[in-house]
Amino acid sequence: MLSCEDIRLNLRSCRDGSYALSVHLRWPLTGRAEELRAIDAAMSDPDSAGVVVCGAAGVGKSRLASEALDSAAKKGFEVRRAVATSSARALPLGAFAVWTSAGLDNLQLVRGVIDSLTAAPQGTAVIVGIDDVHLLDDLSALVLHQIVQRRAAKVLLTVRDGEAIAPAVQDVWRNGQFERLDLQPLSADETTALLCAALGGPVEPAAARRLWKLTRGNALYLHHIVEQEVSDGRLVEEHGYWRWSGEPVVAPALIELIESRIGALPPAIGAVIDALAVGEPIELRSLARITTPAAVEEADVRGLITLERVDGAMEVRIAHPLYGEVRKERAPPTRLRRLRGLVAKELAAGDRRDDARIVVRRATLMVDSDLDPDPELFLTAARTAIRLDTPLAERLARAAVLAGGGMESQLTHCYCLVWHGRAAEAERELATLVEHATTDLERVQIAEQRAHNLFWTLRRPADAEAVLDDTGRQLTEPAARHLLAAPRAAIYADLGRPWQAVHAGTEALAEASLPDHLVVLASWGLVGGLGMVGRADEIGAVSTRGYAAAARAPNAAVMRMGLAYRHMIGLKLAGHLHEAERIALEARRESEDSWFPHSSLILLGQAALAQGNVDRALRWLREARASLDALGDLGGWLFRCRLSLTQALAMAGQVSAAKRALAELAENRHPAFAFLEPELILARGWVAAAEGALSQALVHARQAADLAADAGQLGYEVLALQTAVAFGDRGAADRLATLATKVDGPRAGVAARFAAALEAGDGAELAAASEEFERMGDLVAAADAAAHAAIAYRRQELRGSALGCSTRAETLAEHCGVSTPALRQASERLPLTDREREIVMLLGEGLSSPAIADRLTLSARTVEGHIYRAMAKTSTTSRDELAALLPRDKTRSHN
Amino acid sequence: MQAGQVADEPNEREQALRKLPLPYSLALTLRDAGVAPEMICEYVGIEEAALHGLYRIAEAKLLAARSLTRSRG
Repeated sequence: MLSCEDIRLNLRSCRDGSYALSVHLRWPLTGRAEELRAIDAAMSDPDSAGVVVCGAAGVGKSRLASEALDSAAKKGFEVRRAVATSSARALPLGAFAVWTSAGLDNLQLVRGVIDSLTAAPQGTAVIVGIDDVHLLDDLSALVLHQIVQRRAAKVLLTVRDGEAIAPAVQDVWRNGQFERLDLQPLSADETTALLCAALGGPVEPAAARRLWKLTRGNALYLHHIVEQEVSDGRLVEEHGYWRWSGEPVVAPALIELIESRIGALPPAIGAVIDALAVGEPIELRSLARITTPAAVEEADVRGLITLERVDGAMEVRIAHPLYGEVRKERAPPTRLRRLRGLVAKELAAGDRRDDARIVVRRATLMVDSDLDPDPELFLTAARTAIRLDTPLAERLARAAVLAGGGMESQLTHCYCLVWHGRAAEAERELATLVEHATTDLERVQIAEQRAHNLFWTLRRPADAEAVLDDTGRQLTEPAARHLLAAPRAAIYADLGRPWQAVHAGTEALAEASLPDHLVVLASWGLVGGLGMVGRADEIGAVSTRGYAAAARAPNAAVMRMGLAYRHMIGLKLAGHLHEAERIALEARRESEDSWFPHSSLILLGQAALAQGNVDRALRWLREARASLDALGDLGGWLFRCRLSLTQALAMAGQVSAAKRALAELAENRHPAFAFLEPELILARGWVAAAEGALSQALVHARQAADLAADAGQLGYEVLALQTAVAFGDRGAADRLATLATKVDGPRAGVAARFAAALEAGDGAELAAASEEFERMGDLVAAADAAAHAAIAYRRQELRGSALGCSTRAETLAEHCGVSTPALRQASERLPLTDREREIVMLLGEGLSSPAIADRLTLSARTVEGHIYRAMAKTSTTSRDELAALLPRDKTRSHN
Repeated sequence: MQAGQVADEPNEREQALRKLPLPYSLALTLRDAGVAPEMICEYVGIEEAALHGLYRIAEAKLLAARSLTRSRG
């Protein structure tokens, strides 16, 4: 959160004559600790004359030098600061004007300046700092030279890379004992750290990555762009995260800065930069044909471009992305259109013209060029772009429609519209397409898209079903009806009708001619249905087929994610929790470079939550929510995120936040995800439990189980009953034992053991169930079972065993970051003195009594005495049992 | 974590190297590979006189990144 001290507001004039507020942030120095230490060391080294800091404009030389001088002043150095500028350069001793006296000849003047600059009380060392030393006039250079030669002071100089430096100035550090520091731009991580510090909170990783790519770690450029984006409201804080929307606008001040850096360009060189600005990277020979070889060479000499060998060809890029942004800002649109056309033609003439990446580039260039539009190219490119960049795909598909691309282009465009947040518009367009469909296949394609859009995006499940039913009646070919079973399967599963989903999914997947994207939809349904009815052993094979089809589908990332979500849930319900985490991690890897990576964070969050790693779950889910809040509830991901977030907050014991999240969840229910109703009721149960309303929590868990049982969602029934038992329910053992014979996976069996042990008040069995839960990977259940074991032992007056179990429960709870009713009930402090505790800890490390005595310089007899008293106090019967009372980090291996 | 994945994980030094600004990690990697100093200067884009100082800062940054990795690990 930014405070008043962190920002300054200025009024600035706009192009239209109005005024707007400019934000100026406080930018701390980050990522320069090592450089500061190096300067500090040189200043304290009697053999060193000083430090010269070199680096590109804006990399942070002046700031570093200024901070180093501040630090030196605090340590007792006498510090003098001067700045050389081009205007002061015209005057002799211009940089040192403050230290000159009038009316003296040159020699006296120089002596006077040296004396003034180096004057200090006895025993105090002086440091002279000169910023932009390459701009020093000759006489000032002489002063500096003399100071260094006489060792009258240490000096700290900054020099900008690429500037002409007078030999007299260069001699200063060439002949002296200088440390040279070449300052490098900030890394991506350092840039993120700086952004977080300046903005006073975490920055969405994608935004930080984009800002780093644009500025390449140049701190000055970063300041300009971030302040402009904050002022204009494109970089905003939402739910504790800074999010950046839209394209950056290069502020006039930054344009001036960059133009002064790249200098006034002759038109021929400007053309090289402009061509690269619209279409980089460009192969060297192509660039030479679009412009001229001499201009390319000159741009290279001036350091405006970079050359890199890629796949045997030389690719040219602009040396800094902002040079291109500035040129684009200044160039007339007609010129940019012509240049895009020239680059597109060059790409079309190359050997790799049909590579997916090149096709997308050719089409993107062509859309805004002076070339005749090519609908086929636009459509092919749009379908390729859907994988990575749906907003771009939408532009390309629209161009294909406008260029007369027909039904295929219109369907692709509607699909892109949905994922571009314009679902209602897509539904209107799709509804009009129905009349133009001429084949059963086209009718199915339209119906499937409409159903998908109506169901998940527009939240109208009944209308989605009606569209599928109406279309089904119009079809004449049997194969087409099977195709329609695919979207039906996915819809049934999400509506919580698992058996219908299993039947429809099986029917669709039996159709040999099923297109890839419908194979995936059918797999969503079948995997979702099988997971819910408890047939988790079968979902692996179905998922494998689905993933293979998703990889070939045009919208692979989204299709794959939907399948991974249902796959992960099936595994979670069955209790295959490590496998569920693996699926989530794979989904993350697959989606990281797509335009919609946030959904995989929800999978990761849910998998972590199922394993009881609440801290980690909260981190992922919060990050996902921050991103999704901006995009809206695309495909119901925000609803799913909020659901898990509510549970996680409640399990973490963050009562107020959990209650707020639950209220938010209730206001934003997604009707398409009826299958999550048991989870929703469980979330209410967890919130009630966090508040301490245990009987209410129990009622919710039971309600969730009953609802799941009525719907045939046996997997959810097991999870709900397990939760009820953890809350203290003593009537679930029989049902769980029955369920354990009906559903796959380890969860039902362990939950049944847990329930039976709780009913019997059997501490040993509860402890055994806790171990089994831990092996399964459900650490919250393991903690709860251990807590119940402690309570049971305590009732039986088995104090040592009770302490052992409560210690285990606490250790697990601490690792998970949870606070549950059973844990709170079981917590009990150990009645040991500090010395006894120390000895018990060492016993736990495997040390013998003589070894402990040796370690603590006690007699073996004294140690034995402490052990005896500790066992008596804790009612333990063996040294192993005693050692197990103190927590050790046994769970870390699960990380 | 699957057992098979462990072998693919970069070691702690490599992880820390990846956190450094590219010129530093590049210079250290090339030096470790026995590349000649003048070649390293060309790759990194600095004068030879600056190479020693670059190594020094790079090593200090690497040390800091490694201790950070360890403390988070």
